[in-house]
Amino acid sequence: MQQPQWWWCAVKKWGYLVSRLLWAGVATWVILTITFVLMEFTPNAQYAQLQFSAAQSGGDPEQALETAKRLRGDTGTLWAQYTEFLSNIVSGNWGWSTYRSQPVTEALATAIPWSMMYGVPSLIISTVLGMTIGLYSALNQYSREDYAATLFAFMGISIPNFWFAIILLVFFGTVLNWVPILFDTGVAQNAAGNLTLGGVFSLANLRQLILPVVVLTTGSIASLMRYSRAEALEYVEADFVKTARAKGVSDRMIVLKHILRPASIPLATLLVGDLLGIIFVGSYLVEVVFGIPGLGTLSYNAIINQDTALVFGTIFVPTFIAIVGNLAQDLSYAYLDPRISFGDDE
Amino acid sequence: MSADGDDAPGGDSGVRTDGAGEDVVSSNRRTFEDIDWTAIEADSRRVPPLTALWWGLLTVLVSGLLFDAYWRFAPEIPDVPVLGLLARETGGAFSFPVVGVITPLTWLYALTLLFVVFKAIVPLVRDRRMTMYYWREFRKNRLAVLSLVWLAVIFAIGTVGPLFLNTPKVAPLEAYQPPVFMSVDSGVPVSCVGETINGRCHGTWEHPFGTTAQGKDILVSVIYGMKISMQVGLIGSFLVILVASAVGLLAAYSRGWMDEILMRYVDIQITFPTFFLYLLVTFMFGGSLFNMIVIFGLFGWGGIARIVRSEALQRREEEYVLASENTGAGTWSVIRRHLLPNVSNSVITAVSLLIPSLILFEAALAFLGLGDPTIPSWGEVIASGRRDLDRAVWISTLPGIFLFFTILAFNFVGDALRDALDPRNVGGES
Amino acid sequence: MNLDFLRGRKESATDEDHRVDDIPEDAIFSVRGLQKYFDSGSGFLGESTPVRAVDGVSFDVREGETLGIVGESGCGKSTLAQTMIRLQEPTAGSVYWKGDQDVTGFDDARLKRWRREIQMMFQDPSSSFDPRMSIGDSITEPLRVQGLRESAHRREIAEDLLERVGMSAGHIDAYPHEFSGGQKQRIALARALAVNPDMIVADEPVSALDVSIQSEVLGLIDRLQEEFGLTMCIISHDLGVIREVCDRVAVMYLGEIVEIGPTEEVFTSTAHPYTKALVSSIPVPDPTQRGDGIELHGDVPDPSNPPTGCRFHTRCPAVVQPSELDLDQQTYVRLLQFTKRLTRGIVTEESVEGVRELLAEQQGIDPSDVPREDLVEELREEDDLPERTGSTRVDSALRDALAELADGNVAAAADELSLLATPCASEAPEAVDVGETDDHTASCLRLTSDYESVEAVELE
Repeated sequence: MQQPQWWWCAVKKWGYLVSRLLWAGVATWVILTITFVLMEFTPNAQYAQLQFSAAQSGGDPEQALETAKRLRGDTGTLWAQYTEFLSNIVSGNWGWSTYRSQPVTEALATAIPWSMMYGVPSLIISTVLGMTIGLYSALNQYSREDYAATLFAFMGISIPNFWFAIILLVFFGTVLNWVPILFDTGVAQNAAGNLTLGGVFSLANLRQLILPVVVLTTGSIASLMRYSRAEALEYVEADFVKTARAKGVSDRMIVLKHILRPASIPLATLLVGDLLGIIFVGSYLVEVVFGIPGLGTLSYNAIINQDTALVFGTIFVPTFIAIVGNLAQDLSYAYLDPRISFGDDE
Repeated sequence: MSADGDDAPGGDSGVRTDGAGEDVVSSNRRTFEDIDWTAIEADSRRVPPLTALWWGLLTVLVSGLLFDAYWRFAPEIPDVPVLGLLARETGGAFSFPVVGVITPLTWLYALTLLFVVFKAIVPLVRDRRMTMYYWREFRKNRLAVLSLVWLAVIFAIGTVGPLFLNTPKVAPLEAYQPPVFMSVDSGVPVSCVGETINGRCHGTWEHPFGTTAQGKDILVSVIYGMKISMQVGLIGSFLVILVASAVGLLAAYSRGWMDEILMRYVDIQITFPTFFLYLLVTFMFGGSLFNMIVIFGLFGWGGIARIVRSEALQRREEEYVLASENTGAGTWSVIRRHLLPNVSNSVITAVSLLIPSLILFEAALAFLGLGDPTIPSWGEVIASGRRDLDRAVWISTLPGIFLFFTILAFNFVGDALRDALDPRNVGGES
Repeated sequence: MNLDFLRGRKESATDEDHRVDDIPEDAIFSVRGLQKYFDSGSGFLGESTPVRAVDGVSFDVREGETLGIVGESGCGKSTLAQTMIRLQEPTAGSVYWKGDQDVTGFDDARLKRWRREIQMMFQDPSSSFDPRMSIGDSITEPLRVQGLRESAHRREIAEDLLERVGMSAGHIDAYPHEFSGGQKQRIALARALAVNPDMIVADEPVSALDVSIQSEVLGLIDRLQEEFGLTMCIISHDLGVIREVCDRVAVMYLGEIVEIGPTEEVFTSTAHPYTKALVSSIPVPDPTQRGDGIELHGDVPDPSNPPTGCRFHTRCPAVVQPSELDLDQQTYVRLLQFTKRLTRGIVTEESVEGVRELLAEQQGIDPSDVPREDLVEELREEDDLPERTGSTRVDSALRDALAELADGNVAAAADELSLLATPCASEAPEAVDVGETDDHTASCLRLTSDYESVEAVELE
């Protein structure tokens, strides 16, 4: 019969925030530890080579390995290496990339802007278009436009984006010659090789970014469209909307106030979490096909060149972003949806 | 007048006769009053034949899988006399007639098919009315039916084809042959298998889909690709269902701290993209189809586990579960007979949407060259044609069409399944 | 595979104090001191005060009879039903079958065999059947579980059973969603009969049905009971249903049985005040015969924090006054319930503040300026407390209490009224024989020799 104190509710609310943050931290730490363990077990090509040549020339492979390790600073107990690894990561020292002959962080820094060049527009366009079309579909259920949109959504999800990219390249590049086939990084850079705003937004650069954006957008827009349609439908059918209509509220007001607001909450969360995932995985293939020197290409080349540090670095970035994305997703969902209470599961 | 040939134990079973004194059909019926429970208890030790078959095959396949996986890492290949008669040893693996080389993957595939037959097809056949009902609902979506046909064809060809066709062979002289309905400038291929008319080499039926830069026949590659995709899709989802169900049920039934731990783990697992995990594994251990499938299966089950858990939690409180326990059924029996079938609808829908992403993953990885180099897959062929897009566009295009349509088909089917199996549809009065 | 250890079921404890000696010869099912507590888990800061759903219930069911268990929703009836057949494990207490078999001590194998002797009919027809199983399969599931493998045999039995409950055997392959509520309850009955039990427990068998269907199903239950010599235990919140089919009835309140006896006797010579209230609330069609139903005031207690002594005393219109007092009964009840609201935390400092602010708004002044007399008057009116109670002692105590309350001292206010304390709050009444037969008992202090001298209270 006692009402919970008001301060208890507040504690629960902020407690949730803290616990989610802590959780994100724990998840990150777990992934880092797993990575470290994996790295320990990676057959290192250079070391293998060293040992092989040592054995061939009659030397002691074990000795050679030890020397090499000492030279590179790969010594110490496992625990010491682990703590050093963790502190390195936190302080920004992510290792040296042999393939690129530069620190991993630098390599990442050069690559990320290129990925953003087509990634950010894709994100924005998919979100806006996706939500709009989804909303429209929900409001005009079973109309021809709805069917067309649904069909388009299906095809968008199904088409393999690397293949789609190739087809588009063939058609628009080779046959029609509207866009260049090979990606020219110089178009967006100045003489010194640095990216400039003017260069990035130059017509030439935009032209070569069109296809990547199209490919990436078609994949992600489809799922966003279907989700927003399903969510909006729930509200369209809801009784309170019917009540509003009966009261004579105009359709537009209904859409804005009663449908868009509650529906946008889960959409906002979907956006952050899942879309980023789709885009990261998709970007890998898109970059390889189009030859854009972004994160995906970097990672790909790192794998091919057996550059351990770079491989892990390029996999970290999307993973961390995914964790942050999920965190933001959970938090916004919990705080924005007034129906959700805290603490009690079922 | 008692019924003739009344074989109901315990004598007269409540004979009902109609006006003329003729026995109504029901008079021969055994009723609940005359059940001989002692005889039944003695009888309950017997095992029905279908169950025996199931367990027998399961044991054989699982032990085969373990055995095979083991001796791949073992120093020596054991000298097995009986097998030696049937098989030929080819470089460390046994090769049987018709089936070909048996790898751990073969065992896994057989296991998957075993489960599909015994756990999916048999119940569907038994529960015919329910199945018919679902089919009627499903049929309403014509695109989905078409997709189903397409998938069946792919499955059939993919299973049967590789048994009769050899893997595509490298044949440099037959490189760059165009498909049968196309022609290409005769400078492109080294030599033209078909006719050269007006300086253009025409395709022939010998290579209906043309050949790649290395002279591999594309049709054969596509057919082998079907098999690969089917294997990836089926085996992968089989593993996913297994693990997801086990974890989901365990979490739902144990509540408390076990539930918490499991769900936290699922959270982490979902966060880490499987794609990158596989990249890591390839980087460290090299790419192989077996690795790929196992990784997908072992790390892609998070979402479905959540579904199983929430459905199980819901249904566990339903009265029919209680009613079943009231009859004396043990917990496991209740789970098997009532919980799993009712949960399976959501699981099937989710899986049918998981399969296309598995296939897409495999294709993408093969495209990047990170797949299994020893097997012909759609992604690989698409990749091989990239450099020659201006000259031999068919190499990348044709396999891609198959890939696209197969994935599209799975998505249509999955969507239709979701509508047909929607629990709100089952039960006219909700 | 038994996952019970994961579900955290408690071991059943056979209560040593209850012997089998006091079980009547013809009793087929006997419950002694049965308890079922749940962890509420929703306590403030995580403490767990258990919810005492069933708190020491004892009764016998005689062979061939129909016992009814009646009470309001939330009194623990369904929990009792499930606990007594060990569908849920009891926290304490024993159940005896046919006088000498201790059900609470059965091992798994014996328990499974016992399920052939007693069956249950569930409440909600729309969820008591697996939507994916045909009703034929659902009906014979008990048989299959108990080992009857031959499906042809089971099918025959199902067809026969369907006919016996008044449905066509051709329905055997249909699915639950194809049937109406009444039909489903018939099917539920068929399922309960399948193993040929000696006793059936029916949990709210007709509550989910339309009134017109109710009597059909009840009639069916009656008929089948006679035909097969079944013993039945019917749980319901509907007194009309109970009166129609039950030989004896037990009335439950907050986890305890407050009265038990032959149906007609309980209905006409009602002993317990709670039963009286329930009986008076049965709708009577004849307008000339209608009286006013007895209205129960007071708040329904929380099962995790039941009242002390007699659990009903917080709502009882016939609550016993302390010997020193002799007020009008209705006034006393009102005063007592006011006191309860103080002690059980329903009236709090905040609520008094709320009243103060309300007055301030009305008068257009600052809350701290509200004159005390006004506040006292308002509080008096809110709880309908009279100016004159008929006893000067009580009047002054009430004035002092209200003054304390206006100052925000809830505990002190309750203290002032301690003279109102009723013996019903300190003594838990034992079951006492009522009437001529030794078959009718009730648990009310008024029936004991100590308080027999207290004037009988006439309730309208």
